[in-house]
Amino acid sequence: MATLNQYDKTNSKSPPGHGHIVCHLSSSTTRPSFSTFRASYPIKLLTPKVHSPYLAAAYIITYGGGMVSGDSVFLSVEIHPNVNLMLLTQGSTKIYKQRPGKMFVNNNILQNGEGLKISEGTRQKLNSFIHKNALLLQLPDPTTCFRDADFTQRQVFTLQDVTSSVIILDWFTCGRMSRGERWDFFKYDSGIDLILSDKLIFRDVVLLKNDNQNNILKKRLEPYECYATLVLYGPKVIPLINFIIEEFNKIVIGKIDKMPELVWSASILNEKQSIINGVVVKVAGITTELVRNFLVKFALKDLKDIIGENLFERAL
Amino acid sequence: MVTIKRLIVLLLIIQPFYSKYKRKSNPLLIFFFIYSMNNSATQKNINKEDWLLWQFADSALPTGGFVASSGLEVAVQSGYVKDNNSLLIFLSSSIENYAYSALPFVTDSWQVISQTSNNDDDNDDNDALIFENIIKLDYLYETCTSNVITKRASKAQGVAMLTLFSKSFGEEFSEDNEGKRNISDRIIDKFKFEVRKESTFGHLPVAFGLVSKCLGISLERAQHLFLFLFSRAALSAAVRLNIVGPYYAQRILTECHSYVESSLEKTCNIKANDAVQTSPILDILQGRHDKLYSRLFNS
Repeated sequence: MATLNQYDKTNSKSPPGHGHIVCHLSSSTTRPSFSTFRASYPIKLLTPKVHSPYLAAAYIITYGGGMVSGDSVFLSVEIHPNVNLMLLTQGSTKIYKQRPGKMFVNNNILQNGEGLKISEGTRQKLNSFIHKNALLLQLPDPTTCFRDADFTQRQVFTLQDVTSSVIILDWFTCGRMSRGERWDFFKYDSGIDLILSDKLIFRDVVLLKNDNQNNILKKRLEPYECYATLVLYGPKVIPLINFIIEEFNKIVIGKIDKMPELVWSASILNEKQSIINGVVVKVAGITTELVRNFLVKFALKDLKDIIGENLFERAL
Repeated sequence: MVTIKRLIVLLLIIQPFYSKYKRKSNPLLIFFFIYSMNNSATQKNINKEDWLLWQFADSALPTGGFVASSGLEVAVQSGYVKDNNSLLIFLSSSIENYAYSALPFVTDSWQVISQTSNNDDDNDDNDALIFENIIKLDYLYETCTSNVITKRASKAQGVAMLTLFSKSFGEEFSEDNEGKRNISDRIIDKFKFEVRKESTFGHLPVAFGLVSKCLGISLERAQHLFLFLFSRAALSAAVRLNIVGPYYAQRILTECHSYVESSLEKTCNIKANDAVQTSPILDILQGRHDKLYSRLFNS
């Protein structure tokens, strides 16, 4: 009988910064198992005990709780039919400041000989493939870019067909607020591609850059300190999608002089078809907690039914 | 210009002496004749392009831009824009955002015809290939824009741009120079037809790039014009929303020049595939436009 703790023991073969997860469900069981579960420095994978049927979870952890300039992480995830896999982090991903000219041992881009130019900054890439009737829940904590940090992230989610589902959360804060850092990073560049059987159906790339040291970002992004993009797609999360759209349709805005503490909007994905398959939600809040509450107590509250109360509390 | 003036003065001085001896050919006349010949030859095309640019910049151009406030109306009602200072921040970030997210589609669309038609024989295959690339760009813009309101405004103005071309410019341009302009005429007609059939979207950046290329407007000028029109539309909305007066609006529009220049510096070479959003706050606000209890504009 396959269990969650059965791992592939080939850790040493992963190139630096690479992680690989394959999760499947054997017939006659409701407990998914990992056929591949390995990663190398600076990332580490852990799996908590999960009791809900068809659900598996993986924590993606970086040593020291953050990444420095020159770190490059590549994660590939494959979810076989009927599995619900949840990807989590422990606390926000901290991106430390860029140190130009320094190279790190774990810089795999340099090893590939692609030149110095792209080795600067911190890079993270996720490639995922979601089979029929599978669900991927990408629910990390927010990314926090410290002063002068240079962060680039690309996440590709490929759905095998219309029966595959996904929840993608991509969010970031204004920086290390305890040190008074607000929008002081050099660059935050994060992109999501959602592909449905070979066809790109949604792309969202956010680029925030402080070009001339005059902290233009602060002026533009205030008063909010946390921004989130949430994408829901597929039959397994249809109740959540419908709930969000219904709630959004209720909103009526009268003229106000002060920006609200939390502001959000929802757009239907695949508008051309009469059937609603997905939704994109964008939120901004004056604190991270407000955004977290919006997600946990409002937008994703019905997720409990899929992942169980216990794990839902731990996520986010 | 100065040297030409000096030359004319010199010729004027020597002319009486010269004409005493040789009455047959007057150097001044010959000079003027050559000068005007040269000038009319080199400036003919430039004048045409300039004239078209003026037409495009004129608010009388029926592109339907007057119903779009580019997110300004909702920004005002949500308290994001409340004074002149916040209006400037709004303008600088929305211009930059548009330069990063929409301009790459203008650039790519402008280049489609010249890049695709390498072989001189303009056959149907070539047309089909150009058209396919246009449709791909149009589809990519749709997928890169999550916001329903932005999409709607872009489609409405894109279709207006295509209609404008075929109703106001199309036939004239297909007459001279049989090669390329004929292609453009055919491509735009087909594009418009597919949009009407709802098999494609007809987004403004794609339509704008295509139309400006077909009219012989240079890429650089098309890019400038695209961002100018965006700034102008936002400010004209600001006047109608009564945030600024018409005189002050012109002053700000002058200021927008620096925003457009600094944005273009960073974005003029970006390909559509690398287009990004740079203003999450404006994206959220724009997405809420339809929830406004009372509104003047469509976006």
